[in-house]
Amino acid sequence: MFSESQAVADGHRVLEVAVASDLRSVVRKLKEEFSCDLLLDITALDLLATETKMVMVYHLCSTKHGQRVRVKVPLSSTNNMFMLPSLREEYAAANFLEREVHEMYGVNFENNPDQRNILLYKGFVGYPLRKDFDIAKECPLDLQASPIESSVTLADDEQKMVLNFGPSHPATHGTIHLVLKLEGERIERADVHCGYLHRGFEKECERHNWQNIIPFTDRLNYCSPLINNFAYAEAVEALAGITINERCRYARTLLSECARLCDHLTCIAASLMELGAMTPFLYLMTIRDYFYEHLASLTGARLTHSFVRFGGLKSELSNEWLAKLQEWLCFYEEYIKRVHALVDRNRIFIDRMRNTGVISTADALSLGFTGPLLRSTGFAYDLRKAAPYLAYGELDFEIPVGISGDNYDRYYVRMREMDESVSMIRQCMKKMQAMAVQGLNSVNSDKTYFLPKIPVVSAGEIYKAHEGANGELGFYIVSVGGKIPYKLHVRAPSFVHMGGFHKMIEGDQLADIIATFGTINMIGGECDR
Amino acid sequence: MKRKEYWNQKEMSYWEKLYYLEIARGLWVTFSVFIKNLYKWCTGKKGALTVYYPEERRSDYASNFRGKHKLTILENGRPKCIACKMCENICPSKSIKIVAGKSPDEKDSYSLKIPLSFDLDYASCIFCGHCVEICPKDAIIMTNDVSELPTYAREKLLYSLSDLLESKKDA
Repeated sequence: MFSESQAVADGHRVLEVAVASDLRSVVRKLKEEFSCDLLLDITALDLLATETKMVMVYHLCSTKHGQRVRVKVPLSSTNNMFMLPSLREEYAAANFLEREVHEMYGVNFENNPDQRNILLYKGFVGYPLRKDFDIAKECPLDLQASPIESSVTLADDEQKMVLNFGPSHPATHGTIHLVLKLEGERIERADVHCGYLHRGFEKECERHNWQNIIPFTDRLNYCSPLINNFAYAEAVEALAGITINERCRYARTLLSECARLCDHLTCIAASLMELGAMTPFLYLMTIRDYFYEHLASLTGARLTHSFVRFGGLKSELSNEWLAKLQEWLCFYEEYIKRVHALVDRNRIFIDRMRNTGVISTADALSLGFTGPLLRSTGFAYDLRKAAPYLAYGELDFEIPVGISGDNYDRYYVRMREMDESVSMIRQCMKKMQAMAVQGLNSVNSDKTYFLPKIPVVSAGEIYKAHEGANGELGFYIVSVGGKIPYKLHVRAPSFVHMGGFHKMIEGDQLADIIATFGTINMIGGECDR
Repeated sequence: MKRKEYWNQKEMSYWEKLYYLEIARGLWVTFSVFIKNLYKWCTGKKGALTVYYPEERRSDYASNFRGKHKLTILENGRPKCIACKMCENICPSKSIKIVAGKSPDEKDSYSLKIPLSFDLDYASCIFCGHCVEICPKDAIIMTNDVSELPTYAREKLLYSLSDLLESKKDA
């Protein structure tokens, strides 16, 4: 399928599909012959000012070969309406992603009957991510009407119940709206609506310079903002040809793992609390708070760190800071032992978690799941091992996997991953302290971009992904040169996971939603952008 | 490297099914923590991590914590700000509005421009610290003070030059 001379850009094989109607056969061939089992992302690129009016961009990944493919389809239009075949039969993940492209760019998908709005509300006029969209124009929400269009309906003679769960339900720590069809206590159908936290992140980025976007990325996954910072910075650095030094690579790895630790702590604490276990919640929150305070003493904020600068970091990690971090890691070990003793083998906990929210490996792959969700099904795919970035190639760590893809496995995978994170932080720390002895004391070089320096990024496109705490967090950036991105798209793991949430709860009891939603760890800021 | 093994089985064994043994283990954990905290309390150390806000305020915010802004002053009491509007331009949330004016002294050696007004809207400020980083004169800084920020009216979140200026006593 690919010739030797095939262009390889930013680690992706780029495939152009000239005729839109060929898309399905090409993708099917990719799936079968090239074992591209993950459809990571779908987005469009508005080139309305040029000859090719719109380009669809698909990112696929083969977990077997570690290969990444970018499929691009130029679209021809009839009166600015675009049409192309849907991929929902090939990949279940396509459903949510296509709905987003449909509402944002006005691209229509054949054989996809489900083209309801997902991030925007019902009745929104216009396609906001198109370049000709007038951002000054307001489109007020009709307060009398429902902002969503539910696909769950009852026939007249059906003795069942439709239940609205959310959007601000106390047990879902995130604004999400589920419309459920219940047969007694059992969930027969679920319809997931997100978008209540949509802030127009991608549109906003098109009006801000590269430096100004850094604080915005903090607010994506606000449980682990440092990972967002670094993933975004790496994408821009790769486009602009900025390099970081050895110490900075280790410092970023260390901080990424701290962020992952905090994220997992939050996730487990919250899901345990929702099941009624208040004590482990308080233990875990205590550790998390010490980590947040410690990060605040370095970055200046507990959550919104904005700590990255292109080519380096905002400030130095001092030896005292690292020594203090070591203390908190020991503290973590003491506290986490208690949580293991309290819940690990407790029958109440096991009964609630085991065999609820089950997802098989095949389903998880088809739905585009990554991160702890995919690993809990027993499939050891981790970007840190599959395509090592930063300093992960030089660290010794394992990928913990579950056995059956249920809630208990997700809890187990996260608990194990935290231990791995702590071990990685220690390895990075050792390395950094050794570097300090050698006189390598600065994470920044002369070329680090501090304000008022704003990098001028050459024209090009890039997709860079980091292993976020919840899954693959990818930044797809298109630049036409200059200080402002032409397009910035985030492949948010939570959004993709929400696309498969219904699959995990259908057939379960109503009360299982709480446990399942907790262990998925959907983060509104990232899901709704 | 050796890793800790945790329980993760498809089926519960006799031990897990017994249930009471695990409950006893859990109670032992919480009870020992209680005893430890009680000992702390008895010996006059503070066991709790919480404070009684607002009567009691936290004093341990990190020194570089990005809290409320301050406009620094020169020794003669005038603001260091030269109204160059760098912060106004870089601000990601467009929260700063500066009106520049001429310095009353025509041969001012420090700067010929002074800020006539300097408005900072905390209703939209995202505390990213870009204004501090970009300021060529270190005229705007962020303190680790976050007190008095919550209010009942949005208008009160609009801070003017006089609200932001540090008093001579602070300097």
